Amino acid sequence: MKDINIEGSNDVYFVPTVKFETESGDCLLEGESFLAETVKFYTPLIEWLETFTVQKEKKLDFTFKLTYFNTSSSKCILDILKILKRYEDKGGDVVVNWHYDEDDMDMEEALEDYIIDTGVKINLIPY
Amino acid sequence: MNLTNLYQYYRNSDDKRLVAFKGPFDKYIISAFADFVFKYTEKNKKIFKTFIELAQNVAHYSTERKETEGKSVGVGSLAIGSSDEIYENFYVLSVGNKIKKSQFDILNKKCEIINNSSKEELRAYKRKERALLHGANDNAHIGLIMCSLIANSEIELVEDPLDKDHSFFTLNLIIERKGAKNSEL
Repeated sequence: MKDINIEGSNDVYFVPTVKFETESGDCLLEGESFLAETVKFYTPLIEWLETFTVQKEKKLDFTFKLTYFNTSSSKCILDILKILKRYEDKGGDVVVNWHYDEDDMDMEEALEDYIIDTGVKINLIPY
Repeated sequence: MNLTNLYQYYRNSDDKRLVAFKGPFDKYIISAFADFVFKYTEKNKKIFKTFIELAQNVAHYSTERKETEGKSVGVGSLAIGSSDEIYENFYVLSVGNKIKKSQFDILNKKCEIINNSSKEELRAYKRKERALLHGANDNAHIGLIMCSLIANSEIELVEDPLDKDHSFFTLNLIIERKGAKNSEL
């Protein structure tokens, strides 16, 4: 398994920064997500997580610092959270932290909906 | 030579309108306007988010198409008004495009459901619809639910019949000016 490193940008589309580390199990998704081909972008991330949660028996520490994601991205994020929940259910050590602007009530509600949808524990960390 | 005279358009434009546009909603236009919208609305995240959702709908679903860089992009219109006497402290975000009449009827019914739902019902509706999503281009309906949730207001649809099978539809959304924190995205 190789690490995933994608540098975020917001030239035309908004590409989030991605850092998935195989050795440490630390994962970061940061920035804004509004992409030309959302599914194409997220599929390798989802495959990486599926492989990690099958092959490795290590802690998975996922940090979200997304400040904006469009509807297409929100579905892919849901898929990521479902994988994390499955890993947790089969005994995997999973920590999910989501940092968000304390005044962004829309984001807070979106995160609450993710928790309802997946059952995964998300530590909501306002800043 | 006097190929274009913009004076009529200028004279008839509302001073409170931030921007108006007609053309292909390609990635460059959406990105440029998203940037513009954010900067010129006191960095209002709500109008930024709803603009992107609605602009993507025009790009995907307008029946009027234009080829740019080998891709077919929907043509439509956009207008953002800052406020008026009725909607003081609000922005009015409007997008419009050509659509099949049959599609308009479907859209209208969906908006009726959205407009008659409470916030909690809308959130549940969003979760249900999102679970059914299969592809990136399959999100017009959930995009409208998101817009209504973010704006915390009803969606107004206006239909102008064009011919037997097609209409031009305008979607209006009212967004509170002070509804979001002024911070960098």
